[in-house]
Amino acid sequence: MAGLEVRGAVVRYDGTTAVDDVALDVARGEVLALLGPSGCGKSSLLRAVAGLEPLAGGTVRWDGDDLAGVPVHRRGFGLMFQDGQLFAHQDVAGNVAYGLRVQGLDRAARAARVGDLLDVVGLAGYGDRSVATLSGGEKQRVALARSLAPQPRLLLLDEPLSALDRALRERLATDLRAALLATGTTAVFVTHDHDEAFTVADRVAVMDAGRLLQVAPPATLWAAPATRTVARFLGYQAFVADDGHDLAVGPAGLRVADPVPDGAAVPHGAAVPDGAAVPDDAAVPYDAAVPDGAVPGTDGWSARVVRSVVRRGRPEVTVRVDLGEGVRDLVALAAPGRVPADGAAVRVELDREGCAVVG
Amino acid sequence: MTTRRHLPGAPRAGRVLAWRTGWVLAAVVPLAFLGLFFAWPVAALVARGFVADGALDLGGFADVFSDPRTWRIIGTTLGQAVVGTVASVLLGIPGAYVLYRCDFPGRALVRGLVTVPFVLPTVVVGVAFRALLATSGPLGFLGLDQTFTAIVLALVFFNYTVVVRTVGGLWERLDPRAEQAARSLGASPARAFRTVTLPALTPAIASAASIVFLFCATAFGIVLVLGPLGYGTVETEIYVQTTQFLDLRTASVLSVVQLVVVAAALLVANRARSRRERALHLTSGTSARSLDLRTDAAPLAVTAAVVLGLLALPLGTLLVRSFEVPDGWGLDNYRNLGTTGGANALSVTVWEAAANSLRTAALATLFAVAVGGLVALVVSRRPRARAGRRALAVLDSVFMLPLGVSAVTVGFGFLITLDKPLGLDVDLRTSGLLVPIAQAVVAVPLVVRVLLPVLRAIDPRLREAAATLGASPGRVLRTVDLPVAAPPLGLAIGFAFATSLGEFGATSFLARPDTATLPVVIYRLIGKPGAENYGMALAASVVLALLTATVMLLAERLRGDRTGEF
Repeated sequence: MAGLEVRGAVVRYDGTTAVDDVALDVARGEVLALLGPSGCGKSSLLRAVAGLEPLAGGTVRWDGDDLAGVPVHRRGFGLMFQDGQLFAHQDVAGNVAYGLRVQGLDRAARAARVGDLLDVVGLAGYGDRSVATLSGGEKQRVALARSLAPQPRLLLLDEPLSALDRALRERLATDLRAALLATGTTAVFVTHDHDEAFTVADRVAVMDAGRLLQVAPPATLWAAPATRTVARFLGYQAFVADDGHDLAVGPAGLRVADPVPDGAAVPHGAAVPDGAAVPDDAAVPYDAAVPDGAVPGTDGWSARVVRSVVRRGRPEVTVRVDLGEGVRDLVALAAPGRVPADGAAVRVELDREGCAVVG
Repeated sequence: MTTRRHLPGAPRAGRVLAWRTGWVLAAVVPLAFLGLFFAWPVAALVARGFVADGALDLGGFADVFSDPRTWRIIGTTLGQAVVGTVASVLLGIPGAYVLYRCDFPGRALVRGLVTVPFVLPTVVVGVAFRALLATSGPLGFLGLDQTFTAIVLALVFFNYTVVVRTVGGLWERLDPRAEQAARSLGASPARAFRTVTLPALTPAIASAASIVFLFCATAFGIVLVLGPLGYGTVETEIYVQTTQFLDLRTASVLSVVQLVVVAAALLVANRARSRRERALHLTSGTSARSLDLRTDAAPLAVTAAVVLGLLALPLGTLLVRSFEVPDGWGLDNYRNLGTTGGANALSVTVWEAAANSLRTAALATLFAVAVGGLVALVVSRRPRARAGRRALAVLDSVFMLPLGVSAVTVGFGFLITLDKPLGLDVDLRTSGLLVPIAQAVVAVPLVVRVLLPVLRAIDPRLREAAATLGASPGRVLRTVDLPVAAPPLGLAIGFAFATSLGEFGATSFLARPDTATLPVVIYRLIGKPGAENYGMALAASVVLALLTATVMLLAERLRGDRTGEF
């Protein structure tokens, strides 16, 4: 098996087990995202692969060679940190050239390669800048160029975009994918953001509580989450029984039935005038959540509107509803321009395009 | 993917072993140094007091503590330390505010001036205050010469810097928005200071106060030069009992008393310091605003009075009076530095003593920086094993001990143990290495305190980043740790050199007449009668002060950002 091969990996810190019997393969040229909530052990696994944490059990191999006892600097694995960890006493070019100097490249070759890499990360001409003058996004670009420069046989990225704001993160994720493809780099990318994982990776490994739950390409993972935990972590908001299947309801898996049924206007006889303040949750008590006589079924559920927001041009309606797991607040989409009033009784139904069968 | 040289995956057990051995050696060498040149001599001296005719004899405690003189001396020591500490803190807090929280033209210059006293040799300070307060001096009419007040003034002169720099360093980085929030909630400036800023500064104040207390309680040169006849602290009494009365038993008991006081002060300092390190995480950026002559009038007035009256005046007087000769003004005192003094007061000329000083200080600096650098390097590591981390914490504390243990004790301990160290037939006492080694023991804690915070502040992931880029552990040290530690290393060298130049307590024991250093000859000169000798003492003090100030100035130049203590 070419590439990275992790078998039965265990990492422990002072008695607690951070990584518990993990097996993972990454083929040469592949980009794998390690996705999981914070504290699930994904960073520990990454550090163990890099050689920064000793394994309490199991093996890490590259192209079949066991790396036990091979120190960090001889593994040929690059590592990029969440906060870059640039060397403050060197300028941008000095940082990018660090690994090249270690390899003993001569000055001309170094300068050429630094120029190429600054091009790849979109920072051409930044070589003389002091790293203190860079913005957060620029620092991460320099850190990426620095990790790519020595042509690591495997690049490990530890939440490289998490410290950045949302818009920048989305743009950099795309740029990162392009840079990894352009340099043909094998990479393991740790993140807690599924959008980021899906943007960057060929395959996504979902991890929770020290164990790997599922490894699959993004589309497969999304279409067929292996367990409810995986589904929940990907953003599926509820589960319903459907023909003996366990159906996960995605963020776009519920919609407000159109048209809104007659006589379902406002509870307690109190009209909510236009422009009135959005009632907080207390204004819609749980015992008043589901109107009497509501019959849950395949053609929909009775629900009560808690509040509505318009996100990316589409109304998202938070409804209080019981899909069979108890009364919960879930998000249902509504057609543009058809936003029900807060407190209104509505029917919601499944949109199967936004749902997936678990297992 | 072809250019990179990948090494085979086979374990490099040999290299790893060599690297581990290197770290162990890095810890063992300083420990051996401290054990041989500090723990052993001090223990030997203390033991002499408790062993009579080959058996343990604790009678010394009963004898010494039943003597009212002992209690008087302990009382004097504590009184002197408490008054000196309180005065330093009360004057230092306004100083920290003006010099670190406010911005005004010439601030860097005043900050530099305030730093000078801390590194001045105690003997020089003593001579400067004598020159100021003696009946012939400008403030002679106050009648303060050789009084308790004179000693306290000199102690504040020394320790003002410690308070200003420790408290100011934190104050500078305090987020001003907390105080602004209090103001917006209706608090007056005074109330906002008392309820928000002062509590935030408390750890730094406590840390500074405990260090100042330590320095005040163990002051030696100042008390010897400025103290009235019969005035004694524990430190000077150890000196008197060993050198004049040869009563080792009493000296040993007093050494133990001093150790207890010092250990208590260090404990408080350590606690305050760890609290301060926690507090610092909550703060951000530096924020100084320009000085407002109206609202900042009170702290400004206090600071100006201290800087001009307490710091500049004694030094100015020393400088001016060094040109005073019996028949007016002239360079005679400086010309006389080429002689051995009136009535051959000395065995060497003052210039020869200055050369001795530079030579010993250079050697001492070499030892201190090598040992202190290794300690800082080892202690700054973060081993995975809990036992390892605990061992490093112990190592850290152990190397602070020489800061508090009487230099006199160290010096005398050397004399009784190093005639045949470890049974070897090498008499270190005549080798000329004894004085530099003793000075190095005193300077090591300062080196550690300067380097350690800087090395600790390096994010361990920075080293990991270098390692994943292919840098070997040695290369990581060279390319990550060294560039960060280089500027403070310059400062540490400066501190070690300045401390060694001014070291008096241990050197006065160990230096032979022909290898006397500047502080030693200055002390001898003021002890001899004659205006010529006194004038020479003043001139020699100016020379020593200039040497020290030059060294510190160079060292400060080398340092960029201030992270270390002192």
